[in-house]
Amino acid sequence: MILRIASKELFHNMSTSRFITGFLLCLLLIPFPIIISINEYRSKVSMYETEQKQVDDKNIVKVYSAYRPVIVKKPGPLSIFARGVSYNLGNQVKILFSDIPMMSEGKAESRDNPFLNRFFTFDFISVLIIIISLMAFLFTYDICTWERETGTLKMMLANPVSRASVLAGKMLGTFFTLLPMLLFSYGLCILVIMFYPDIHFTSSEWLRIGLIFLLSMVFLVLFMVIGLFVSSRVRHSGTGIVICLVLWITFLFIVPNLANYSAKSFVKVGSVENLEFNIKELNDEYLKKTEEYEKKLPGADWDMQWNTRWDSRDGFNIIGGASKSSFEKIKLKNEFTEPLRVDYADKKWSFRKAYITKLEKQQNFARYLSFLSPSEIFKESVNGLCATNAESHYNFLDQTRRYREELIHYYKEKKLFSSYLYFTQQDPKNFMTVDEIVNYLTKGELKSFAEVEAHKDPFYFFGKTKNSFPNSNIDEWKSIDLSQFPKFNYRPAKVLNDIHHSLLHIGVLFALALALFYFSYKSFIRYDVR
Amino acid sequence: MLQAIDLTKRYEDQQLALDALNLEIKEGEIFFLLGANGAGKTTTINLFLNFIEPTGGKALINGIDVTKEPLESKKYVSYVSENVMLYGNFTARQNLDFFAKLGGKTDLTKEDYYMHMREVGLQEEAFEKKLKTFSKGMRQKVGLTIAIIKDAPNILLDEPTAGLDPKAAAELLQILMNQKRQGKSILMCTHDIFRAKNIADRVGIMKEGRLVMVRTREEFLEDDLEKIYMNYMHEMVIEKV
Repeated sequence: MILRIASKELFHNMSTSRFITGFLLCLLLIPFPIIISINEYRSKVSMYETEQKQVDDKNIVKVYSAYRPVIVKKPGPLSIFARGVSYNLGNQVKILFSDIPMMSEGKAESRDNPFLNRFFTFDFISVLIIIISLMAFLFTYDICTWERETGTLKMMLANPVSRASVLAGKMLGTFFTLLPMLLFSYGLCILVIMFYPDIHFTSSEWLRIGLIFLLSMVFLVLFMVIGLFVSSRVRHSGTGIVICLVLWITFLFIVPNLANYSAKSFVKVGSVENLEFNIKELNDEYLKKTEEYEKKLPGADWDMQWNTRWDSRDGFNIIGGASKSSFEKIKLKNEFTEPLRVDYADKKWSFRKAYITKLEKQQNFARYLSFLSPSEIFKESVNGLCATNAESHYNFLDQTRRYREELIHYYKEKKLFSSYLYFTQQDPKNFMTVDEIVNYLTKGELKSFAEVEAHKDPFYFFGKTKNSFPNSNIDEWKSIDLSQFPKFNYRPAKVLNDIHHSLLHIGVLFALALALFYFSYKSFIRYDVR
Repeated sequence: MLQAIDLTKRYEDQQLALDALNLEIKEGEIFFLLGANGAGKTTTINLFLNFIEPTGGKALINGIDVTKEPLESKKYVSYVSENVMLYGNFTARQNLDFFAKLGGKTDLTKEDYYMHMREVGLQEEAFEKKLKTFSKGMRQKVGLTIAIIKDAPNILLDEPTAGLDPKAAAELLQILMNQKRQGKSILMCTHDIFRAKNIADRVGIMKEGRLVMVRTREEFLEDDLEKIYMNYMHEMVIEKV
């Protein structure tokens, strides 16, 4: 009996203009966001390749202090379906010893013309949400009322048919009316993607697409049941459509904006300036400690250094040439300052982590509040499956932090901080005393450093030099072997993990649908068919 | 057989729509229930079809309590409403097919439907036309065909001739006579006192939820039904004034 009523409902729905309108909407609205998303994805991939090449070029390192790998996150092709927050965040993380990565850097979404940014773009899922929820409401706002208004409900119930069968049959029929639209939307999306041969999906990504489709079906059912519930509570179709439209606007537009606004109002994050002030204080403290330590070290006989490259930010220091005592002093200094740098990074992290935790709290507040809207639950779940949600980014950042720990551990284990190769490729066996340097560089014209010091003119010595410092040309140094160094391997969340999450969301949406169906049934049992 | 035993309906606003109705319509009998708007005629039909629950008494169809066994009782009753709308985007035959199957007739062929439509006087060219193109009279005929196809022993009709032209109304009543001959119990609620005089076996007049008078055919032909009805209506008008 249910199937009979379902087929009647399906046939009836298919003969209405709503059905054609739905397909036209899909045809008109689906391809454009897909094309835009594909182009954005391809441009992100091209940007990634350029950045990765730059990073690889930079990885030719001559000393250990120069090895600060940059990790570039590769955009995933599933961002075509749902971009989530991925395009708002940078895609690079530089591994520094003085700082634990807080946020990614690099290019976020921006247009060549910044004034165009006010025209926000939709991705596939956003458009699908609009179409499917609207069509679900358009086919269900009067699912009970129009048959009451035309008297066919009485005609049906004058037969040995239970109200539960009528309700189930009508819902089933409407579901099979809307399912082709959903299939058509996905088919159209895949068809457009197939026109771009450079876009490939792995089997795991196909599985995720399958799950997204499954979620879309549950989402469709939920909106149908909401429409059914409204229709079972009102007597006139006019009232039903007004309530459904109000709900539609509330779920799709008001709740998400209200959630963000409330999160900003109720969960305060604190100022970045305050954070930066605390970080600066710790940086100053670190500098002070290193200076104090340096003062305690035995003074070098001559502070003169040849071919030096230096950056105070993260201990980067390359010295082409210096006296033996200078090299020894720098080595001693590094033994103290570099582990201390790591310690201070941890101290700075406590402030940064507190800041990030507040950001996460604010985001979670907005997210959970937005879950008042079923479309937001659906969107969040799809973003999770497409690895474009905030969690995926946190996961990426966590992995970069773990990698940094691994790298530091390797430096400590291999005692690289206290190695000469941390700042020079000069062989310790060939280190020269100051007298040997003076003698070598002036080809014996000056015998000792005392002669250099005897002349007050600093350029006196340079006027006498005939040789360059041996093996001090950094550009000629060979790149050090990094093959044994820990490598960063981004491990996206496992499909099973995402399935678990999406099943949870599917469960929530399904439970909501079931609960609403139950209430609709209860209403329909008492529904006045007259 | 249709039976109402102290059948009562009081709505939530305490309005008494039907007050202890006692009625029995036997096989092969046509019972016309007359009365003004709001007298309780349609409420009676709604109670027999279990569209609403009684607040007292019971309605029986072939001895089955409609409240206790609604699905079972509906196997034995057909219904024709005042304004048969049906599904406008379906053809007459598709409408018949859907409702026939709901009524349990799953083995009918296209030819069977055509035969039944011919029986009620529908033109051949209308069989496969969409119902939204039909006149009210034609729709009522389709509604009646649905009732006939179900072939239930009881037929409930709620103002079926309202808005019909005299010819269409006469045809409809002729069909009812045929059904009566087949031994069906027919309860028809109407304002149409003239049709009642033509085909009713018994007539009941309802007033403010109560069945105030029942006359057999012999009695109402003797007493001038029209006069009796008008007297009741007049009394009601005076009471209201």
